[in-house]
Amino acid sequence: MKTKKLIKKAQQLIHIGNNEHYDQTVSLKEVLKALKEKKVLLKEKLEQEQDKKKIKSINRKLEVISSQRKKGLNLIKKLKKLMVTAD
Amino acid sequence: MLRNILLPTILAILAYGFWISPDFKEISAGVAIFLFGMLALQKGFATFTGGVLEKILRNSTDKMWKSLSFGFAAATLMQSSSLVSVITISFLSSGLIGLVEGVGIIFGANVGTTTGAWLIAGFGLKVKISAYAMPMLVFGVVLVFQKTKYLKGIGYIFAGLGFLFLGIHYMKEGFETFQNQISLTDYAMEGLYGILVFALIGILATIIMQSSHATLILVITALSVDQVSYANALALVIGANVGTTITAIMGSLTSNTNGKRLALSDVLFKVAAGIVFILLMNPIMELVNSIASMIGLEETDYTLKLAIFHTIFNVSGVILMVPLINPLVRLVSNMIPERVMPTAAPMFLNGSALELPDTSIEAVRKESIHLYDNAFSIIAHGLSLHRHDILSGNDLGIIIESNQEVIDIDIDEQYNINIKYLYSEIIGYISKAIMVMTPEQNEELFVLRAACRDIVEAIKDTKHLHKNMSQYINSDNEYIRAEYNKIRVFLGSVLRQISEMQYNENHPSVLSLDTIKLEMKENDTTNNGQLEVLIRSSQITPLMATSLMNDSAYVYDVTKNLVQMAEALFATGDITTKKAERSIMLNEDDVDEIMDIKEAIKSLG
Repeated sequence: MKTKKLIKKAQQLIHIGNNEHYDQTVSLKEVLKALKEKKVLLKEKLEQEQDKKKIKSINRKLEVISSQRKKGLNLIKKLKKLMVTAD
Repeated sequence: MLRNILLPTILAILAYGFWISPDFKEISAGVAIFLFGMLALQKGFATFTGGVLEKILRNSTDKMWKSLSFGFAAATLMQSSSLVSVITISFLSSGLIGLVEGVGIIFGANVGTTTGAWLIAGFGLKVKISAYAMPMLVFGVVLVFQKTKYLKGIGYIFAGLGFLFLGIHYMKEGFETFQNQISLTDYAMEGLYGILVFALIGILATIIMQSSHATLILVITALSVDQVSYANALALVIGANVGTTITAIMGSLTSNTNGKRLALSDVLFKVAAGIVFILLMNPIMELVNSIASMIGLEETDYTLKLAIFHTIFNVSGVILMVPLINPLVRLVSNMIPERVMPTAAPMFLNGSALELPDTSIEAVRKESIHLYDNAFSIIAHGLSLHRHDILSGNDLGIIIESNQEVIDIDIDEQYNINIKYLYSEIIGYISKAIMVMTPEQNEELFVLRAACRDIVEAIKDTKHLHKNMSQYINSDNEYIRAEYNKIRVFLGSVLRQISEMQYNENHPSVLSLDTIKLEMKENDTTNNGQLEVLIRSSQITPLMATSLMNDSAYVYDVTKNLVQMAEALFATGDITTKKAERSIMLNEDDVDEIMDIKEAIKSLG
């Protein structure tokens, strides 16, 4: 019994199997990674920007990205929990 | 080029005509009033579309004998087949009846009008419905000012009839000079040539006098003093019957294609009957004589003989033509084809792709983008912005400040031409494609279908917005002008951001559209206190404020629909990536949360 459980865990760890939650988590992580890169770029841009209008617009984008990332991270947590309880 | 000079040329010719001839002025005014009456009549009948009148008309004309009886009864009561014709044209133009039913009514009216000849011949009686024109006009105008839709409709019908008669009255007055110049003895001649000439005179006399009954009285008078021969008098009656179609022709000028077809059917019917009767003039004269002697008329009782001829002419014409109504309708439909509006057709919906789920999803996506491209122009023009201005990188605020010109656009018409058909084709294609798909693929199609609905909704909301916007962007009140220009800048920037997503190769993720949602909340004049300031300081009137409040709601809806559409149409990557992006997109609560945090920071700082 213990061996079986161990194999299943190992399968998940080495990304074998067709787990829907797992695929969703992977996709989400990729999207969040892209958002993080965008955030870094925007912060760099913000430091150099002088135009008030553009500063406001960049800040708005940063606020949105932070909120999206927060939402995404919460979702990943939930998905991980679901994967564990399914085992 | 030609179109540009045509109208000024016509106006110049008319002005010159009015200057040199008062009669021409009177006739032209008569035609104008008549046509105005037709417009009012059509508007009046349009009120009853889908209502009781339509039901009554449908039940009264659903069989050929009913249409014929309806026309007969109407013409007998009104004593004018021309009036029945123009009213029938109005019914047709308002979509209350079909062309076949209309032709039936007109044929019936031709028989009904013969009762007039009997009244004139038998009792010297002339029913003048035109005597009711002035009261009709007055009652009509009073009713037009009522609030109830149906009273208003009846008002338009009365006013329309009043104007028709008034127009005819002016035309008659104008033609009076020519009327006095008609001397039938000048044209007296025998044989077929004489019959043809008198038929032509009958046509002209009826056009001039605007009444076949008036021509009939003229013929009877001429016959009684031997101004014309009996055969030529009959030719005049045939001509009068053809000439009476002028009223229907004039009435059809303001009508739709079916109204014009009906007028043409009337002309063809009367011309055909006229030709047959001219060719068979001698046997028909003998038939009239034998009927006259059968009922005990004297040889010289030409007035009643004319009434018999008039009846035979119309009744036999109708008997001959009724079996030919359907070919006649086909003929006039071919002669006056429906003006086909150049509607946008699908470019990507390939029937053979229906068996391949991924290909058909892509086809629907491309077609939906095509739909959006068409919608883009409508929405941009609805905001009085040019497509190239939105697609350029220039500051929208500066563009709008420098150009306050309102773009003249009929959004309903543009919707019918560029959206409606395309949208229905996409919906039809999706319903077929869905049959062979997995639930996941189906979900993708549902998302695309919802995107198309969002496009249509965005256009409809733009239509509402366009009304006040066209008025206020040129207002003398700088505050309301500024508020509406803000709306233009905002929606212009939404369209621009979506275009960047659509056209740039390394376009941003659909997640960037969430910025628009936040911007929309920040700019909401109704909620951000700006509206209160404007009202309290009397910078805008309460009326302007309510317009702005309503329009802010439309702006919100247009933006929401456009963002939803763009999220669905311009998302890239595989289905799981799209799903992941959709799952972290900000909803209304998320945006409110950001706003709350901002507010909290603001109050602390």
